Amino acid sequence: MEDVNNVLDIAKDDNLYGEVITLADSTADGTFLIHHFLSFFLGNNRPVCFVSLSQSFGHHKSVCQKLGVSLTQKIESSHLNFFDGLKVFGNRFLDTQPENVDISNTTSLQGFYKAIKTNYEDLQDKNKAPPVVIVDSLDVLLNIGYQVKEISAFVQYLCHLISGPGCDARGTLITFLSIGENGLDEEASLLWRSVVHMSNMDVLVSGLESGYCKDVHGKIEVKRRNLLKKNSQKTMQFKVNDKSVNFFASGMSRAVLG
Amino acid sequence: MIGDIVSGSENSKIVLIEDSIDANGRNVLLSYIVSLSKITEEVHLLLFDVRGQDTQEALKSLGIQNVKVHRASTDLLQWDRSQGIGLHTDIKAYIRERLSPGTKSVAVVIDSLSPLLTHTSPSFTCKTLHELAYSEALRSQVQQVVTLLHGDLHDDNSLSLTHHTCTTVHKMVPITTPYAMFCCNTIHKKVSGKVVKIRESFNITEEYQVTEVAEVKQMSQNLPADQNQLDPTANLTFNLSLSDKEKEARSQVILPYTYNKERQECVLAKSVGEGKIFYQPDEADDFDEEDPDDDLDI
Amino acid sequence: MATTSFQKKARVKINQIPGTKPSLFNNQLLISSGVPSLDNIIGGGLAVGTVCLIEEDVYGSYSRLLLKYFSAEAAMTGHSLLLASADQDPQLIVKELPGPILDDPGDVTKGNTPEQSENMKIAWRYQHLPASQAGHSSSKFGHYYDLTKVMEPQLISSVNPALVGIEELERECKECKDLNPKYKYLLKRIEEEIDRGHFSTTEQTDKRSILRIAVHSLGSPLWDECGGLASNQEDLDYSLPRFLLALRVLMRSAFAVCMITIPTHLFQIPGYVGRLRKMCDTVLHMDSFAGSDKEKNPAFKEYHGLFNIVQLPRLNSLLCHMPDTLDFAFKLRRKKFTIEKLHLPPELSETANRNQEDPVPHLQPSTAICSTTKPNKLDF
Repeated sequence: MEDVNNVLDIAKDDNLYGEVITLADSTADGTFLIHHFLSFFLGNNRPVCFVSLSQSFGHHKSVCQKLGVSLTQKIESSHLNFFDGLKVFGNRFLDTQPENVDISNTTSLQGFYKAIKTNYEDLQDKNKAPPVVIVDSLDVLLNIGYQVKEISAFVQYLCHLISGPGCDARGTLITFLSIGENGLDEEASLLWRSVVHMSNMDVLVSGLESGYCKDVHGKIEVKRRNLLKKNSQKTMQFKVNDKSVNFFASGMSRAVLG
Repeated sequence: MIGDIVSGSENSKIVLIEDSIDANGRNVLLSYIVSLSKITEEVHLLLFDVRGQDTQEALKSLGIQNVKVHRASTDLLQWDRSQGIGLHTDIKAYIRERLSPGTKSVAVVIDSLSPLLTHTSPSFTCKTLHELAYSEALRSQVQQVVTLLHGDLHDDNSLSLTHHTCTTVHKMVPITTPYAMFCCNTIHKKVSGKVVKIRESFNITEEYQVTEVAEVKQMSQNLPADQNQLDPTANLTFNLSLSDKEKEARSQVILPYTYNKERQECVLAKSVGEGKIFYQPDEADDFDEEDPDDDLDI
Repeated sequence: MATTSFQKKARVKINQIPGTKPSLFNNQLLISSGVPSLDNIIGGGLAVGTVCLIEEDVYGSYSRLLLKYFSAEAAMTGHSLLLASADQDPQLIVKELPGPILDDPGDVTKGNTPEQSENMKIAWRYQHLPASQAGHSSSKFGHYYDLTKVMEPQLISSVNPALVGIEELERECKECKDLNPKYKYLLKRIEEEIDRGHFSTTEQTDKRSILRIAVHSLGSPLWDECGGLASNQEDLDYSLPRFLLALRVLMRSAFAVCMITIPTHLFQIPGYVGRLRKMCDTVLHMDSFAGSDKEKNPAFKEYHGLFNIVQLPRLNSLLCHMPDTLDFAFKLRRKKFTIEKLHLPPELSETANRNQEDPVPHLQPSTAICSTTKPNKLDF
């Protein structure tokens, strides 16, 4: 979605090689960012390792279809690897025999990391461009009992997975997590901070301080972290539509201005 | 103060730079590295953080030769079973082995200490820091240990234990004024025993030199009142203070809209249900029957 | 063609399933919650394949009522029902399901005159139900119920509900280290019901229907739940979130809708309820005035409690249904339970601005995802 790219200062053909981006939402729904990045990278023919933990494949497929990308076709052409984490982790608690016991270890995410690594390397072999790893969303891991430090280490390993041995072949890592109402869930906030420390850009979607509004769904804060240059920060408000998201400066929503 | 410690004119064996997501400390860390690369023969940089790669790249672009980088962030918990170092490594022994023979002065820099503190215990972390600086095997050679720590990732207890082990702690705070790039609170334990607590703002150049260090005075009310403070009302040409007699007279003045006994009885005598506006004009009141709005020319 | 939030493998004309309708909004398949006014505010109804969480009012009576409407709706639409409760005998709950309203005063029953058909178009909500309670009206979406009457036993048995009570839970649950054995057993029963009734999306079947799963007061002490704490009272008990994750897996691949009520006011761990909400799709919060100061507040004399939309699901689209407001109130009359926007009674709405004290206690701004209206503390 072009408007989202503008807010994030990303050009249409940007590679974001080697970048680690943290997406988070607190009191408003920020998951549109996931679909933005999915459609953005797949649209640019970048292979994507999509690790989905909170929604089913059907949901993502439908949304991406509206944005002009067919997930099934991308899977067939080896551009997309869809890891159905919802099923893998959920099935562990059902009576059915868990398919992969390694992944479903309740305390360690090593097996999970290994599985993603295999998928990543597989995509890397089949494609010219280095893959993108998108994880949706880390708070599911927190909710079902993994410790913050375990998840934090898991993300660190993913960061290094995409950086690869050679500097030219760097992938991209995008993680999403919900931190809930500001500060209330201490562990979620701690996890968020750990991951932000690892990233060079972080985006936070939250609700308006004035409360729910039908026409302005929330605000988005984008922070870029660069070493010596001053960290740049941008804040805007937004409204989600059927196939796009509109952004505007605070108080400038068309509905408000009339 | 911070400029002096970074440059080395002020001695400090173990330096901790505590930062947060709102106030980055990596620039200060780099300043230390650049300075140490000039004062010591070798600087050993241990990377535990993902963003340690930024530090590494910055050093590469500066062309500094005597910094040896050891990446411990890639296989932190040995999930990959690679040959590299991680949290499991005995850092003291590792560094000792990697010191070039004959080097007399060496510095150890850690970016950052947070993974160690998170995955091990505060006591293990503090011991590691201490060993690097003071152990028999390394003491003669290690001039300074500088480490970065993400304060917003640890609880207060772990932080205070770690602070206790260090001789200098720089806590980065978000800069509020546009005049400077960085600001930090520094607690420095001098060799003499004196402790300096100071808040400073400063800039860092592209060559990672700390410049324009200025003290930032705190505006907090927590500062105890200075006993020797001059009374500002003393030497004025007009009299701002009141004598006791004057104070008493002041308390006797009946202010216009306060209730006094007479008015109270008057009001209470009337029926309770009414809301009454009680207006008692005094001599100064000017009864102008004109409507002030008539003056408006609309 | 209506779509659902899971991969459609069964090529069935979904819009022919009785008691369902596609959402006007995103083609999502919906069923009625049993309360038409609720259906309206959440975007038409509950989406098939989702979990609806009702955060209970402190005494639980109104949330139990919602569950009864949800269950009663099964009888009216021919949907199947699984009802589980540890706090009350599900047999009893089912016996007390409210009877449907047969002849509504505002409706026009028979006649083919143009004006009468005209009436039905406008007053379609009041279109009558079949004269006898027996049988269901398959083309209806949403019904009204009379709380003074109970549903006829034949109608209830036509549903043939699967009931899970405390005795079955205690008897059949097996030790499990991953999650609370009772929750695990409930998951097993749900899975069995889905299989038995062929509700899975991967199954081919001729007569498609919907499975309504009603779970009463999940997470109450009778489920061996300690408000999110493990037995050592220090660590967190992850059973509920794990249960909800597994439940989501089941729901996403079944023609089923699950309505759960949880006494979230018993969960004191900060942030924990937020996590539970994230693991569900639709989240609604009830706050009754019974026994609180609000009962005497003149602003609320028309209503019995507050009703908040905490979260609405975003399924198959970028956007979720965005209502005008998230704050509502509910009132319970003998024949009708309605949820509507909070209206101040006329005498108060004028003086509201002048009074120093706000007659409507300041409701903290709620947002699309997180409502912050907390239940009243019972301080005597």
